[in-house]
Amino acid sequence: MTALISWGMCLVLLPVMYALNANEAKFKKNIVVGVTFPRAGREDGEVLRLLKGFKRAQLIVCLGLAALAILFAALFWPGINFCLLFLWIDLLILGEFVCTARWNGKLKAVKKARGWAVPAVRTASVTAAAEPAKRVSVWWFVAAAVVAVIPAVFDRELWMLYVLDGAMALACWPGAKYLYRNRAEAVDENDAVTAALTRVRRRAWDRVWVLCAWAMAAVSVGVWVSEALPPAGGGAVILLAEALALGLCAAAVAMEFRVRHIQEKLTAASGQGFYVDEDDKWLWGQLYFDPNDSQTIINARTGVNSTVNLARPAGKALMVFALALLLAMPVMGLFIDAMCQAPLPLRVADGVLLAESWGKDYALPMDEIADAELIDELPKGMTRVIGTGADSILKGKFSTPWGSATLCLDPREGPWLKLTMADGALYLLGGGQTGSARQIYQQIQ
Amino acid sequence: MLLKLDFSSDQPIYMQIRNQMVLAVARGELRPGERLPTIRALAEECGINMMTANRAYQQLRQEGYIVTDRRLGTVVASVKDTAGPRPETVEALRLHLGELRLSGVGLDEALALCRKLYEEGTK
Repeated sequence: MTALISWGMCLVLLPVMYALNANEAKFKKNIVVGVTFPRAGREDGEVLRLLKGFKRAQLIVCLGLAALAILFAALFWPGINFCLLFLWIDLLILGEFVCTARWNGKLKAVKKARGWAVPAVRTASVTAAAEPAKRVSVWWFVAAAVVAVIPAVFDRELWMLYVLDGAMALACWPGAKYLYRNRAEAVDENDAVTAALTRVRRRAWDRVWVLCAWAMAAVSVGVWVSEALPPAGGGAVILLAEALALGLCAAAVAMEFRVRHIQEKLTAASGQGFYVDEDDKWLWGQLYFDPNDSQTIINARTGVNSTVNLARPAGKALMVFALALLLAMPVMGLFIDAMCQAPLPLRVADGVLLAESWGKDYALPMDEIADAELIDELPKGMTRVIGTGADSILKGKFSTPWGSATLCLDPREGPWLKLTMADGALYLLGGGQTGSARQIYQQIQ
Repeated sequence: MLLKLDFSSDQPIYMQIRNQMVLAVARGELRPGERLPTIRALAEECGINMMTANRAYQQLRQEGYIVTDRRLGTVVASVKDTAGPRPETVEALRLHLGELRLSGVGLDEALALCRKLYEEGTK
C-alpha cells in the first residue's frame, strides 16, 4: 500500500511538471525554452514548429515516466521499492533537463541563422535599483514560528518536533531575504514594465516563503491537536493539517504560474528595438554561468525561482552538493528498503525488554510494565503522528483507538504485544516472522 | 534608465557606468534631484564589485553630476548652465574633432554631426 501511495504521488507530480515545462513554450520576457527572441521570432514558422515539437517531447517524456512508474508499482519489488522510487525521481529530473537542453539548442540555431543573436551586454536598471525594495516583514515568520512552537509547552513528549517545525518556519525568513537577488526584471528600456515585473516577482517570492512558514505551523498545530483529541478526531485533524500543508504548497505552485502569466502579459509588446538578451550566460538555457557576475544567487529567467551562478565557487559547491544528493538518493533508497525488510526482534536482557529496529531501539524495563496483552489483530484507524509507516514496519508515535501509542512492529503478521507501562505510556511491539512477541508475553506472565 | 555594460570592452566598467549616467542626465532620463541607487544596490543590480560601483559614483561626484545627501542618499545634481565646459571635456572634444578631420569629415559636416548629437542629448 505504501508503495502504491508513493508511486501514486509521483504520478500526481507528473502533470504539474509537464504543465511547468510546457509553459516554457510561451513567450515571457521575450524568452522561450531559454532562448531570447526579438518580436519577429514570435511569428517565425520554424520557431513555432520547434515549440510545438518541444511540447510534444515534454509530453512523451512525461508519458514515458508515467509508464515506468506504473511498471515499477505493478511489478512491486519490495526489496528495492524506495531505491526505484528515488531512481525514478532522478530520471524525471534528467529527462526534463535533457529534453529542454535539446530544444534550447535547436531554437538557438534558428536564432543564429536568422541573425538575431546579439553580443552579450549586462543590463542594469538604475531607476528600479533606486526604488526602495519593499520586503515582507520578519514578523510573519516569527508569528508562524511561535504558532509552531506553542504546542511544545503543552505536549512535552513531542517538544522536539514542534521546536524543529518552529525553527524551520523561522528559517524561511533568511530564505526569503538572502536566496533572492535584488535585481530589476529588465526586459527592455520601458522603466514602468521593469518596475512592475520586479515588484510582482519580489512580492511572489516573499509570499511563497510565508506560505512555507505557515505550512510548518499548520503541521505542528495539527500534530498537537491530534494528540489532544480522541483517536478518531485526532486522525482526522492530522489529515486536515496535512491537507492544509499540501494546499499551501499547491498555492506556492499556483503563485509560480501566476507570475509567469503576468510576465507573459506585461511583455507581450516587447522585443522591438532594444531588448535584453542574456542567452550567452545560460548553458543549455538552464544553468547560469557568468564569471563577470559577482553574485552567487541568481533569479531564474522566468517565474519566481532562484538558481546559482556556476562561475562562482559557492555556486559550484552548491551544484555539486545538489548533484551528489540526487545521485545518492537511490542508494539511500536501498538503505530504507533494507530498514523496511529487517526483522523486528524482541528480546529481554538484564530485566529490560528490547525492541530492536534500524535507527532506534526501544528499551522498556520489565518491572515498569503494568499490563501486557497479546493481540492477534491490530486496531483499525491507527494514524501516524511522527515516525515511519510502511507496509512492513510501523515505527514511532501513532494515534490509536486506545490513545497515543509508540509502535515498533511489523503489521503484516501477528501476534503483537500491547504493553501499558506504569506511567500510562502505551507500546505496541513485535509482529513478523520472528514470533518473539508470544515468547516475551509468556516471559512477562 | 538602463545601463548596458560590456565586459569584453577595454573601457573599465566604472567608466562605462559614469559615461552612461552622464548621457542619461544630458538626455533628461535622469532628472536633477532624482534619487540614485545606493552603492550596494547598484553593485547588486550590475553584478559588480562594490568598489567598482563606488568608483563610478566617486567620479560622478567629483565632476559634479551627482551629490550625496545624508537624508536623501545619492541624487542627480542640478547642473548649472553657467558652469561652462570642464577642461577635460574640451580636450576630449578636441581629440574627437581631430579624429573626424583625419577621417575626412569637413567642418560643416562635423558641425552638423555635433548639432545632431547635441540635440539628441537635450530631448
